[in-house]
Amino acid sequence: MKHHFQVFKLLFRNSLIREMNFAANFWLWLLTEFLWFIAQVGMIEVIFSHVNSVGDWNKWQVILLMGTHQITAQLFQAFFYINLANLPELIRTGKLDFLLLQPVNAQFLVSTKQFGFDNLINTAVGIGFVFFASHQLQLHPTGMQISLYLLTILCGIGIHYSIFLTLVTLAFWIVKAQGMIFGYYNLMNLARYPESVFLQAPKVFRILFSVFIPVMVVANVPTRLLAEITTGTPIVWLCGTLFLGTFLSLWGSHLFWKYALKSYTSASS
Amino acid sequence: MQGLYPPLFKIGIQNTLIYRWNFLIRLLFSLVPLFGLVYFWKAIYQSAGAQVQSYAYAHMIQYFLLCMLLDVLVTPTDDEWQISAEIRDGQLNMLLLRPINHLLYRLTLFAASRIVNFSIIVIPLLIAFIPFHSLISLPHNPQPWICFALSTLLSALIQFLIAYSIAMLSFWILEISTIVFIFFSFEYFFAGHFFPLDLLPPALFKIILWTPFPYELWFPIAVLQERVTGPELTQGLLIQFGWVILLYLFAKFLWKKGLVKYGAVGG
Repeated sequence: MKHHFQVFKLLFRNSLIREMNFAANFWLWLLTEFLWFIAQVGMIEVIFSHVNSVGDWNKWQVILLMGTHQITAQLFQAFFYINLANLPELIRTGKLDFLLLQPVNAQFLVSTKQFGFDNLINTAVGIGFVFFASHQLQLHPTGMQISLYLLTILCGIGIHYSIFLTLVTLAFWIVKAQGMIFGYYNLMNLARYPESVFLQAPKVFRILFSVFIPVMVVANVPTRLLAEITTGTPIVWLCGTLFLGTFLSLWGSHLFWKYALKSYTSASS
Repeated sequence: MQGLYPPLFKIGIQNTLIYRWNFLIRLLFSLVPLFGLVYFWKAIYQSAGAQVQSYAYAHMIQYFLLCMLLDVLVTPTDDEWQISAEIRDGQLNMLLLRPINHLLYRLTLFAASRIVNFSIIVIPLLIAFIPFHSLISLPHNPQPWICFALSTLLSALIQFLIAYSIAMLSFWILEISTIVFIFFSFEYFFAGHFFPLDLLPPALFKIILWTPFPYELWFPIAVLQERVTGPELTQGLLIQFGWVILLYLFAKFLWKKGLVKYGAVGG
């Protein structure tokens, strides 16, 4: 009896240590994401200490855009990121086979398993900045505007999801997948700029990055709806592009995933 | 003993070439932020006029192009993860049995991977720069070039030693990725990836110049753009050199401490 108690005590101690380890990790990840966001805001602060507007957007409008991007990106990361980022490892080790045998949709299984709680707190940071910027801009959005803002953010999450799914699906062919994760961050880089900045870019690029890889509209549309910014491409057009882009990218990435799965022959064979 | 490092260098080259696809994908994607940056700064200059601080539009674009080049040439991409894995998975046992200096061994692999990466990337990168060729003007006299080369070498050493030191933490903690990313966020901001550091408020800029970060990126570029000259140049190079020495001693210290810890655990 005494022996069992001691074993139990050890096990309890071990699991507690592990939990505490995770807790430290939780706070560290939280801090990491937070610092990156603050670095972005810091950049805007420094740039606007030298100019008054960028592409006809003022400082608080750009910060509103950053906050909106933060909300979208962090919500995507909370629900899907860790799971999808793990896909290359599942492929490499052959563990994907077990998931494929489950009587549940495989895309669903590889997309949702773990949940990133730290990302929720960073979503809140984004919301905080959106509120603060809205206050500075003296915005009084109507119920309609707020609903549209939320709806377009939802589309944004769908876009993040399909871009990342497409990139990690490439791991069926390319073993080392770090480049893909790197690619996600690089593409999303474009989401943080005001859309009007790209008016001078060649049309090919604008169509590429707003319809086929819809990163330019992902945070711009909700921001413009909320702040009623009228410079740049007419908002009706942008909204249409966002909805079309969301639909096309979700559908396209799903087809690509199915195609990849078809050619998958497992790691060992 | 000295003859050991050339073959190691070769191994480093081969290791890097295994993942050339990964590498080319990274390259392709790294052009996307450049696209964003160019139009973003174009818009900034449209509202700011001809100059932002002491930077004309051409200088600014040139600054970011040089950032990209330097990043490929001297920034470690995988080294801290590899070293950390060596320590965690016990591959270190094998290395400890051999008559090689671990820091030198990693430095050789680092140099090999940088040279391979750079030689693969440099041509596509220069092609991507063609649209900007009219904006690029480089110094004609040799002095800035020599100082730039020296400063770039020191920058590589600083970045390698930081990566090495962070990886040494694996002796004590299991998972270093958060620490890497937290450190990286400071490094990225204060090295000048987002904007040239002289755009910072002057007081803050002066403080930052005493940290190792500006010497990873901003300083070598400023040397080539001839923004830092005369006594400032000498002082900068000396601070840079000082950081190399300090970081080397620190890395060595961590390695020694870590090895004691490692020995105690592994038996």
